[in-house]
Amino acid sequence: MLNSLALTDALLCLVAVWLASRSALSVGYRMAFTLLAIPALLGFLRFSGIYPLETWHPLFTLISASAALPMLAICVLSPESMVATRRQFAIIFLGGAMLLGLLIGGLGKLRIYDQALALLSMLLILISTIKSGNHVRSMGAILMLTGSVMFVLKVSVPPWLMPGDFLHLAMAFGLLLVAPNNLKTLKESSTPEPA
Amino acid sequence: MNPIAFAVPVFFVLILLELWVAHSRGVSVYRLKDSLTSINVGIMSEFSKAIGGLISVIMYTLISDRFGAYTWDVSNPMTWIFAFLLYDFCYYWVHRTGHEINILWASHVVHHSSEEFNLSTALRQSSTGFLFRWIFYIPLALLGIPVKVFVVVGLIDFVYQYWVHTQLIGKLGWLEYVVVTPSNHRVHHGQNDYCIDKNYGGVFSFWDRMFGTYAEERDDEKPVYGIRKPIQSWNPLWANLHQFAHIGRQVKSAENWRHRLMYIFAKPSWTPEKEDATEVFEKNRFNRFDTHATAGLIRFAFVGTIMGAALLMVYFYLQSRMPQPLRIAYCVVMVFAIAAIGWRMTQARQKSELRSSEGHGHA
Repeated sequence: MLNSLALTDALLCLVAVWLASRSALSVGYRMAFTLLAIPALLGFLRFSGIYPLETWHPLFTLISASAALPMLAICVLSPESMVATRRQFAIIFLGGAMLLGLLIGGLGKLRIYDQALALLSMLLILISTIKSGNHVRSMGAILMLTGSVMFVLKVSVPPWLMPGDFLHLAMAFGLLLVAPNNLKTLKESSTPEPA
Repeated sequence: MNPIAFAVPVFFVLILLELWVAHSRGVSVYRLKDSLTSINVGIMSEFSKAIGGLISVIMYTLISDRFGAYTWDVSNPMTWIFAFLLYDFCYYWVHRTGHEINILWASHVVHHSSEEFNLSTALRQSSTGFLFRWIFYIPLALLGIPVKVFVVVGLIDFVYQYWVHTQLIGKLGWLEYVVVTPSNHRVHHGQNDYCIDKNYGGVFSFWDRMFGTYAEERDDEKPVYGIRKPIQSWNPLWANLHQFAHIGRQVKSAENWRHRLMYIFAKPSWTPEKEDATEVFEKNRFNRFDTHATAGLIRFAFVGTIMGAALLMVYFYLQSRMPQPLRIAYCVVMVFAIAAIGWRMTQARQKSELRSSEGHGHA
């Protein structure tokens, strides 16, 4: 039987895959969402017992935290940047960030590295969206931050929701709100703010 | 003992064989100074790998032990076949990024710096590649492919690529569709327009067909070997470092951070004015680099190179019995000794140029 972690991971995976498939988004966004979908898929496979890859789920979670969320932050903060708009630079950025995550967080076991990067990225997204007056996207960033804090504090609602569920749900809905969700937002995000 | 130690004598025998075949066919595919430089670059590469090359095996082992997802049966041939295919796929990307990202090109360019194409060119390997290459093989480690399998398939992939560096073997029919062949690889080493950024495969050529980087050798336009910005030097150390120096100068002179990053990570042909500033290749304007070294100097370079190769073999034989500081000292001394041979050969040209310009001045 599927447990709650498998279900919420599946939801997060579906949301991330759907966002990654949106051709209107820049390559940076799409790659960040793809990378976020991978640990969610691995989590679904692990917690559902369908195909548990015990070492990969935590590894890709930390890689995703140290690469995909900073990438998302760059896309929100600077949608015109090379990393956000050009495939080659998006790959180089993600490759470098993933490697650092693997070396520092994975091999070095310094988990504070990816956790701090993830929190910093979400904070930057929040500040940027507040400054641009986009309240919907700010709500998304607040949701992601709240989910992360609840996960760190190990908040749970037994027997229905575990700490990981809050993170998965908050990330899923947060990503939906943070992603430029219509052409108007896309246009806004690619236009510099008036002085 | 390092397995390359067993390959080195075979490499030299095959070079002699290629020389003999070329001679018997009445064609010239070797120039002594170029070949000595290629061999010296190869020797230098082995010494630098002796110092830093373990990085790749250590990193691979660490990642594989910690995150490897599967346990593989080493006695199952399928394990080896799968690992070999995956290794070659990763190699394709190592190689492709080595051409399309400037900082990685700086490391790989040495392999293309020869203006000849023969078996000695295959020995022109990078001395800095070990710093980057292991990163591309992380997928194998994550899958848990045993380090022994990784090392062996890596060696097979490396040794295979030796024989494709020859002009004496023509097109090989249906094999061209499956594996990398001399014809296929000649295109890769060409600087003609149709050869640029083509045929990156290591053993299998279908990766190139899959990712749109395949080009067939043309009978109407034979490849002209070398690079668009020739290094004009026989010095193996400079061959390894010149593009890094060039990037350093570009970064220093860049107007802003965007340009600095572009100089490092964009394609080597990127300029602030143009995304791809590759110019049309004009075969008639191409002049091979050469120097006017005396017979004595050539003898010195020849003997020095042979001694370098012999001392490399001695190193392979003794390395397990040498303390670490002695190993490092041995390698560092050898790197500089080999660089000195190339430097001396290049300096001969500068002197001859000086004399000729003085001569013009007197006239």
